Amino acid sequence: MNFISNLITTPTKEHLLLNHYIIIIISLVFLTYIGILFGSVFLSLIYFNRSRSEENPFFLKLAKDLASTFIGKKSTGLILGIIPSFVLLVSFSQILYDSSILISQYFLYIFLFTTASVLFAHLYQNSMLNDEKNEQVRNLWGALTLVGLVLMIFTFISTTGLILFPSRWTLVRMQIPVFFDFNIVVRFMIFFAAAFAVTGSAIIFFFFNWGGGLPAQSYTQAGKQNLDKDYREYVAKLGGGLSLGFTLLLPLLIVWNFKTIPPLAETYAAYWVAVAALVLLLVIANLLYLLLKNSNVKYGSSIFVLLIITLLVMTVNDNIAREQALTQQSLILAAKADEVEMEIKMEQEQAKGTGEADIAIGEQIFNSKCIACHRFDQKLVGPAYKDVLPQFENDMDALVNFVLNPKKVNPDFPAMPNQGLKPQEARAVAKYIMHEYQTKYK
Amino acid sequence: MRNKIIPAALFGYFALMIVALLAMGFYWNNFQKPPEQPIKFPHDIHAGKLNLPCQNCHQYTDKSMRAGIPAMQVCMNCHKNAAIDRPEVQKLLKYWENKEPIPWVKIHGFRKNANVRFSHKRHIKAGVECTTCHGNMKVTKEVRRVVNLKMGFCVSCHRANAAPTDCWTCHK
Repeated sequence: MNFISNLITTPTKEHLLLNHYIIIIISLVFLTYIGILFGSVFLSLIYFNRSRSEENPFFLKLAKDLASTFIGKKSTGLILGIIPSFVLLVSFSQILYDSSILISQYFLYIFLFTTASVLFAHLYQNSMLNDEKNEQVRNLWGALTLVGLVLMIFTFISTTGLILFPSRWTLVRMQIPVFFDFNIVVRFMIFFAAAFAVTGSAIIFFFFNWGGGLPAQSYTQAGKQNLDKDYREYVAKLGGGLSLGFTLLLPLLIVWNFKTIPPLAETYAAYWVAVAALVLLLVIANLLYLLLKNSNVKYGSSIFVLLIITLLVMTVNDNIAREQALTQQSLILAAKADEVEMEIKMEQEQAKGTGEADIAIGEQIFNSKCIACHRFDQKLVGPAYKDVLPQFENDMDALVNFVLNPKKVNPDFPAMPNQGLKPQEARAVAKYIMHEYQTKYK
Repeated sequence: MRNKIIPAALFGYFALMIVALLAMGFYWNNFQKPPEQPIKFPHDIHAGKLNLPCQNCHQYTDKSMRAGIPAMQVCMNCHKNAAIDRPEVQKLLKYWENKEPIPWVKIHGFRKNANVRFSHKRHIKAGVECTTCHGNMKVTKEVRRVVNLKMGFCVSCHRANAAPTDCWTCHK
């Protein structure tokens, strides 16, 4: 997948930060959508199959309502699923530019799996709403959607998990990253628990609160059955119970996540952010309890919004771990970006073709490197320039060669380390110190 | 009755989880966090900006089992004169004047009961880069472990490079 890396240049520090923000926002949207898609197709499929064996008119209606509400229009899948997965591909490829992890490849698979799942989900929706005669076909599309999503989630969780273990990057070289760590297992469980919690609250929110709730005559077998009281109660209980159950599971998993998080990704701040998430979950659990107890769906919107905020907090926490684990990667990239900037400057100055330009660049290099050990008029770690430069006055090439390849000359001083300059840079710095010496210290 | 028990149970459960989390955070912050060194030695300046090779200071890496903490004399070769106005360098000068060793905190190592006999020399001779285990010091401000140094890490690298994986290779 090198073609993607070839399109990217070394990101600067600011650019990396921007990418981290993009990742937080986009993965919140993406994972919430994928979670709800998974949860709703899963439930819809269960209720569809229950409706075939049990005589309960709610089941088929619920299966259809879930499919029509959450799979939505074709643009929904494109905007919330396919495009975000591509944005994540680009952003992750940038923060992990030039590292040994096969990040673009993994995210390309994520993109492909997402696209396939969204397509399958629409085929499933169509077969449900058009009352496809062959029931096996409906099951097939539903099952394919779930398989696609599970593959996508597996790739996503193991990829983002692998990022936290930089020492394993060179060792995991499969098409899709497959490796075992308890942290990955916990992350899977967190994803599915959050997915069902948010699906439950989304059922309440979109069926009852959003825009006045579902139209009374929604897709039913008869086509005209009202969203009557019993059905409302059944759905509210289902959504609330589902959401409450998994909301209660989440704190345990969050604590377990901290027990298994790789040491390189650990920070103190992350604990406090997680506490904030737990407090939010406590409020949500209480609201859900009230909702179930009073069979009153008026808390639906607050629960859904609070749950999304909790997911945001958890995404931020994930990103804190990621930034911490990538400290070294980010510093390497920042150093590289500086190098690239210097190269561009050199080229620009040389295009101007004046001697002055070289001197300006030389001054910059002198101030960042040489000045640590050298002064013009006093001996520090190395000798004073005014003592050693005279011998080079008529032989600039020798001075440039010395800068490029220093040797120990005087036993009074420690050997000068090779500064790793490029020939052009060495020439620039030689020009600068000679110019300074001749104009000011001679 | 039930109306009160369930909210109380909810609250208790969440409070328990929050306390557990805070206790874990507190423990990590006080006992497991990467240690603070007596002098904030900036590897990024020495190895990065000044481009000093690792063995300029860690002189025994290719000669002995232990890479060795550089002798203070190595620091003083340059810091007799270089950057003596900086506070961290002044700490160094103070140790030097008082003839005290710098109490560096060890970061890489194995549990005693693991009985691991690791030789730097062997690994350097075999061409393993320092960065494989220590990370890229050219950009590191504060040293911390970048690999877990558990057996899985050692063995996977040994396998990948066709090095022996006998127990006796590392454990004595």
